[in-house]
Amino acid sequence: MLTRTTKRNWRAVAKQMESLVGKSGVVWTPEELLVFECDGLASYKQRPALAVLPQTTEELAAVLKLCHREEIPFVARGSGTGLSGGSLPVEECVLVVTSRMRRILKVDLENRQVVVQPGVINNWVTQAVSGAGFYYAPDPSSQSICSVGGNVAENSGGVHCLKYGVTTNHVLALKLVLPDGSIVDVGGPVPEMPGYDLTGLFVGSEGTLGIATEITLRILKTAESIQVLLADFETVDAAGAAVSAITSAGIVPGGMEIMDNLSINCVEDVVANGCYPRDAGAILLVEIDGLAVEVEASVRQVEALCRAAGARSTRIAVDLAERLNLWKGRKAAFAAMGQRAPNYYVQDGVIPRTKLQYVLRRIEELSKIHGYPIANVFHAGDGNLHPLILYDGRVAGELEKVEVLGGEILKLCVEVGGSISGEHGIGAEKRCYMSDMFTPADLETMQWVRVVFDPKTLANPTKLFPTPRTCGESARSGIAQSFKSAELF
Amino acid sequence: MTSSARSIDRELASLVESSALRDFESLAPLQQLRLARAGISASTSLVYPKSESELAAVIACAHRNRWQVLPCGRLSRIDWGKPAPAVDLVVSTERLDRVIEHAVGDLTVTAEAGISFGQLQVWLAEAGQFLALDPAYPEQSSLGGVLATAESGSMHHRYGGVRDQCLGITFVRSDGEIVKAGGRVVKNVAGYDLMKLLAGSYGTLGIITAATFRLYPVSEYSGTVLLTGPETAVSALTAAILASALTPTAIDLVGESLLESLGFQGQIGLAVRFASIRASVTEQLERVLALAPALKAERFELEEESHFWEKLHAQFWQADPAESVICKVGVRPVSAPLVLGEIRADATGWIRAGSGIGLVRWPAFDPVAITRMRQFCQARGGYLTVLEAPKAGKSQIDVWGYTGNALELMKRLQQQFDPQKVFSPARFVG
Repeated sequence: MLTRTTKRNWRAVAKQMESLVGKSGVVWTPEELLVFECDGLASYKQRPALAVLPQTTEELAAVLKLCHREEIPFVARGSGTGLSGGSLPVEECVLVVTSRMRRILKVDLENRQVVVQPGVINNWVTQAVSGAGFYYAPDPSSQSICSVGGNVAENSGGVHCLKYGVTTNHVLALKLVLPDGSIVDVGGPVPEMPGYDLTGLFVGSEGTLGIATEITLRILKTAESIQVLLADFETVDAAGAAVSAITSAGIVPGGMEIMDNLSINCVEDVVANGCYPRDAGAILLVEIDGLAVEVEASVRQVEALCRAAGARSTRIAVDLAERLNLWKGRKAAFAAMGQRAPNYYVQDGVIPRTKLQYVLRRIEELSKIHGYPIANVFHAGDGNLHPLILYDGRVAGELEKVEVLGGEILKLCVEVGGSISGEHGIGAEKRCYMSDMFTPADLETMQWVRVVFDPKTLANPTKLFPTPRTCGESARSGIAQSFKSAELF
Repeated sequence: MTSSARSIDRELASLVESSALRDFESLAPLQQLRLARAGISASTSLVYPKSESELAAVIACAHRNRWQVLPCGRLSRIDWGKPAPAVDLVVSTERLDRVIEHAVGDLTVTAEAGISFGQLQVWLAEAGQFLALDPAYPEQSSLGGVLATAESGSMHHRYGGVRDQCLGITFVRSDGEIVKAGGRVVKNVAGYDLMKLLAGSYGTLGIITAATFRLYPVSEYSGTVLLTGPETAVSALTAAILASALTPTAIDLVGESLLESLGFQGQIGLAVRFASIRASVTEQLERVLALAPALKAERFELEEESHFWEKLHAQFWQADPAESVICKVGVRPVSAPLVLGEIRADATGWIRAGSGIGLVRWPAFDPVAITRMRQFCQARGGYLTVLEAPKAGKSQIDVWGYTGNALELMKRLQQQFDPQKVFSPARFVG
């Protein structure tokens, strides 16, 4: 398409945008645009031509209408905490930022639903309903800064998604602005509305089908009792065996997490709360929720299963402060890697839970072959791995080598019947691996959906799907971005 | 375009074994009745491919010849949706009935679409696991049929719907290409979620040939309490349970006539089901009873309680659809008890209190009553969709009751997936 490469009069576009959202809603100076040039995947950078910050559905629709008319590509951005470059700007694009759409529109406790604007921060939802004994289940570790709109776009998970599901299982309805600026409502206050499940199709579409401007979420009643068990093992294999034993026993914990020795030590260096024994091969965290009588019995059973699998010691936290203390290290794990290396590269592959031991051994081998330390922190309950490859991005060519290693790990996940992404999304980062999981016909079918929603391919173009052009190049700088006082994963 | 059945059979004979071609007359009477209600005449060709590739070849052939196809599984609910006009060929997945992989340790199962839903559950139960869906006609249904109609049942309350439990699918597109989406692992965000698009699409976007589902372990113990009494007291109890920390797997409101057919008395009933360790189930049953000391209560445990739910299913989904009309309804959860107050004595109601999804059955087609109920549901954020009704009845009324503004988008999707209208798109919404 010729229009993409033609030099556009951005000053004129900015003026038009200002007429739609007001002067304060348009950012166009290079200095101000600097903060928008990357998301949580900070090794990829691209400055947008403009950033536009609408406040209402109508304003946002007007912005997309203008983009549609002028054939301007646009990228949606919530808080910018995504880890796959989902909100990385593309060249000569308008970045549509939802951070001025932060109202909780409706709290309906009777029907256990909350309606929010996309810029609302994940944990504001729980805060709004916790007084009445409810909570919003999906809890990405970045929940104190990530937006619900971003969660919807990426179908975010979290450490407590094992029992209650990820974002898509908690979204009932959406008001969408399509890439041509039209507004449609999908889903409703009741599940299983007549017609295609466009809500389910939209969640996880990574900003390629439009922008959600009102999101109806299901909220859950807070469990009567919650306990967290920490067990430490000689080896990761033993911790993995304990996970299998717990699953086989029919226990469905709220969350079940493993950290390996390298992760434990990185965390203890930073958090230093002495929770995780530094000499352990791995630690396992299991959270059980439900009725008091049930939790009590299940935790005892989990403890016995851990002991049988070779746990050296176990510790159970009952009250809130104690539980948060046990979780603290896990939630800070990624940030803590900074102590050991200037940079880390994280993967998000998923494997069948029963392949855990095999895959971890292979990752260790890959680590040795490629010569980079890999720390493993993962959602063991659902087989979602987060191998963290430690490297020094200041050395030219290192990132490229690390990406090759990351690719090997993803291929390993696919080889054992898994997936290249469990919760971070494909974005700009993993699009070239989509062909390892899907055939050209599978991808063509997905593109059918895209062309229906976005015939001009203006919404987050180049993301999610492999293209010959994007799978050979990328914009990188290798500089890590940090979010102060927030845990990211 | 309608081709003659004989020329279609001739053409198919080169693609499938002769045993794959069946006569309408060879079907069970109930299957014939349902097919007739779906608009299929006795002279229509029926084909039962025995493999995915054979099925794909049949669809490619239909695409080439511009035949119109009605996809089906085991014909337990083929009459749901609008009757299909001008179908040349009925294609069944019934012979695609293998369990491809039951990953016991991973709590997932991948099976071909034609497998009997009931038999699959029996298979899974041997490993102490189950698929957390309790749809209509479990013994007669195929897994693919349950998925294509997204009909989940009472366990929706704890486990979510069909769309929440399907992890991956393989389907044959309208051009005969075999494609897949999702995967076999419990967490996966790679690519568009076509599982959700295909779930509840009634075969209008492709024929599902295999699917992967999440499984759950069978609990050590289970129990149900049925409370009956006046509507206001039962409504108050429902609200109290939903606002409590109790964790039922199902919480269903049962109308007066359905109660009566099960041998219970009362204006309205509330069946609350628990599955967990024994101590938890016992305690939760007792807590429910303590919340409503004035209501009449019946308590069922273990086999007795699964028998209760089977009976409830059997009473509602009576396998004699000659005249009766069954509608799926939805209202905001808070209005769920009101639906039962709204139906008259001759109708039967069964509503899931947590989600507001329910079912209403009338003994005969009554457009006035259906329309009134639809208006009632729509005024409460919901809908009414006619599932089962005589063909003549369905032609008099909007079957789907879709009221939103996304119809255009849905039609464009249908057009993109099936530009030649191979898969009877007229059966669906709009």
